[in-house]
Amino acid sequence: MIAVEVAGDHGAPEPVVPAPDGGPAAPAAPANVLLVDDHEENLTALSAVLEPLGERLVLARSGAEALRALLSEDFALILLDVHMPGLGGFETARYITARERTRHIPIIFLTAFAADIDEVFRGYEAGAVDYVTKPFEPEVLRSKVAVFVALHRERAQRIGAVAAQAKAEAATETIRKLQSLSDAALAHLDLDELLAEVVTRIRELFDADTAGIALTGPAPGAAGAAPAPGAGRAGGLWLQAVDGLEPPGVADPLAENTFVAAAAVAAAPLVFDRRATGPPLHEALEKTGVGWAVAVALRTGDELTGVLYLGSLGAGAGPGAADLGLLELCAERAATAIAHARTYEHEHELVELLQRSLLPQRLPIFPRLELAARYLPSVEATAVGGDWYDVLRLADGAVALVIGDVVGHGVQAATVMGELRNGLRAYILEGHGPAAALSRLDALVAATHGTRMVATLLVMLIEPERERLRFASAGHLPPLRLGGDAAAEFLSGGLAPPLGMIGTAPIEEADEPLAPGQAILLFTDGLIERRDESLDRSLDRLRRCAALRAGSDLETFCDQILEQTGIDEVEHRDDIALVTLRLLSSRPERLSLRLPAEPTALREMRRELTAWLQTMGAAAEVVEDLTLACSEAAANAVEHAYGPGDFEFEVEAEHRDGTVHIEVRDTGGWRPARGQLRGTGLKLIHQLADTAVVHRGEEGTRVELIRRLAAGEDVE
Amino acid sequence: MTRAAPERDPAPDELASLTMNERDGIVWASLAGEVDISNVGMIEADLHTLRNEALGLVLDLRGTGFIDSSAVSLLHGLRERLRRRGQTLRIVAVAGSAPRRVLELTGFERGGPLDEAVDGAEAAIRAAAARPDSG
Repeated sequence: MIAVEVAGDHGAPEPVVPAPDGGPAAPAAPANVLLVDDHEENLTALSAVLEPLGERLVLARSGAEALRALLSEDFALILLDVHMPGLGGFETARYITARERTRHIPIIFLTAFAADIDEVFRGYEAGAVDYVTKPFEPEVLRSKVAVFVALHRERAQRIGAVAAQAKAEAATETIRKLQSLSDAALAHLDLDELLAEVVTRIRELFDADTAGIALTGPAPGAAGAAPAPGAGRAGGLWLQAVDGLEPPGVADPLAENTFVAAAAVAAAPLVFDRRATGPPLHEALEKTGVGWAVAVALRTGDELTGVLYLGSLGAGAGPGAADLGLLELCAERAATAIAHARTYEHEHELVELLQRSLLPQRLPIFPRLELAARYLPSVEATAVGGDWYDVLRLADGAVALVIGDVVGHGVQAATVMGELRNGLRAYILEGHGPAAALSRLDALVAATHGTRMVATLLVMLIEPERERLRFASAGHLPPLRLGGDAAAEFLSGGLAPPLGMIGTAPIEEADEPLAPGQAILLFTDGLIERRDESLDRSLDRLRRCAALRAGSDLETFCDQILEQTGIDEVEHRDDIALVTLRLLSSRPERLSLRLPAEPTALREMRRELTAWLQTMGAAAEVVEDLTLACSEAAANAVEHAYGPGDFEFEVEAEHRDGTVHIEVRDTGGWRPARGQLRGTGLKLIHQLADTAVVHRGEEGTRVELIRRLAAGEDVE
Repeated sequence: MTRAAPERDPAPDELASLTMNERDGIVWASLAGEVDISNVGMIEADLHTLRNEALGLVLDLRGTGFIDSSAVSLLHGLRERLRRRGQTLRIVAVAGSAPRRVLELTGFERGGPLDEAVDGAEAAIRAAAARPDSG
């Protein structure tokens, strides 16, 4: 095993191999450090910790006082308390970064609370270069302040000297780049993007030839990912992102012992200099051409997140003390951003899962109604959740359609959505009409969430028998009714305040005809929202677009609407939900079902067929027999599907002169050789129908059944 | 193992519900709802929890609206298994009911008569248990 030299024990970073220019800065005029805290005792504590540095400490007891101090003097660094009455820390920071003259001053936030990752992130967004939680380690705080003061001094000393102007700017640039590691640009990247961005920025910041991040946790799924050097030795690190050269040591037989593993368990950055390391590592570095390499552990609290490393070719000078301090700051920053991205990715997955579990897996099938629906989660992870649709069958043959959009996004919105969905289902199934259901749901919501806008929501009841529909809307976008004749109109009326704000206001219910051939489209605002476009204009665009395509079957219609309204897979910023229903003209002598090849679809098939046979006036035993025969034929189709998949089976039934003809078919995707009816099932089918023919072909199995509707004609 | 739940219709999302109770060595299983390939496995697993010490099982199909050939296979298997253990399976299915018709069409009753009522089923089990060659 390679001997690894660990820099320092704890506390101040100190390079194992000090670079030529890495020594402590020469004595210089004290720099101004501004300490801002509303608690006098905290200011006293800070002063005590920082006094040994010999800098000039300026104390401010509020954000406003700090801003006043900044007007008259230049500062090397600001230590800013987050929680202050009046002008808070974040707000104060925004003022500071908004001013040209004070923009370059690094800010370290101080907070009394245990690190809340979101708050830390907010701090970085507000322009912080660092974040310290109280109670702080005096040594750590002191070394952090020392790094920034050194940077400031470098900048200040060179200003005015023309030759060194570039270097002074470089120091300013360093601070700017450091800020770039925590700026808002990193806020909404997913983990992979974030890592790629961070390694690039860090490599540029240190002017290194290679930079990489190896993370703990499961191996990355992305293609081309390699195990990190040292993987398995340091709690399973996996190399996730590399910028520049191949990481040193990856192709080396000694790789498992390299510095990445060592850095993972070290308290401070580890520096490896080819000129100064012992034989095995020296040779390993020689082989890859790396002159020096630095690796630092990424930690969130006490937990190891991964390792960040940098490497440089040639025999140039390694990093100095200030560089190492800076690297530690970068590492903290990166660890925070990674933790944030991981939390955020996890939340995103959770929301989508929750969301999908709350939407109907498959739309129910109703006689005389055609249905289609879509849900597209937002492409922006933060915007997922809260849009839903629902379809319910009522005992009296009516069908309820629901569409809603919960205020906000994420887990919370998806959870509220679940609440609303279930509450509403209960009210509707209890037999409450749209207005009554909404008003009850509003009361329920007010009881849990208080009086505030919780969601917009539309409930519609379709009554196929009456060829009418009723609806009530809690501030939701109007339903669109599409004629078979290329006409489309938004239905007005039935409008109440958004859910949570209805209170005792009476809700009007709209009652409209729905003629055979006409369709209804319900949608959420994600479908129509465009930047720089008024709502009226958006609605009108949807109306015209939908009218043109009303002739398509509804599945195609949904696809076309999504495509034609300019919904771009890459672009839609909000969730989109839509549900559409068409009343078919009644042709009672025919029944046509298309169902997924899943065992649970059999029950639905039996219900539909039973209802239809009863309408046709079939005798009770005929209904029973044919339903069983069809169920057997369909079960065969289901059981012989190629495992789980998107396969379907069809049942076509027709009544001709007192005789029912039924055909049960597999539709493609079947293994022909397996689509065989055997044993008891087949025997039953032959016993239950007057005539039963089983066709086995390349495309699957087709079972034809014929039976007279009157009783007593069956064979046994 | 027995499950003492009140007899009930299946919940809206359930296709069938099986209620099992044991009384004086006889397990009473009441099956409500429909049985097809989507739930036959679960029903089978529940029925197989029958204790070795039980005299027999009365499966009451009076509340059963539908069974298909997969359920018939289950019953064949169950009857065979119980017979090997010296236990008796009795099935209560009223003449003219859908399950009765399926059991008749498939010739299931040739392997043992079906009962019209639970009393007959219980008596048949006790009679079988009392015979010296059983158990």
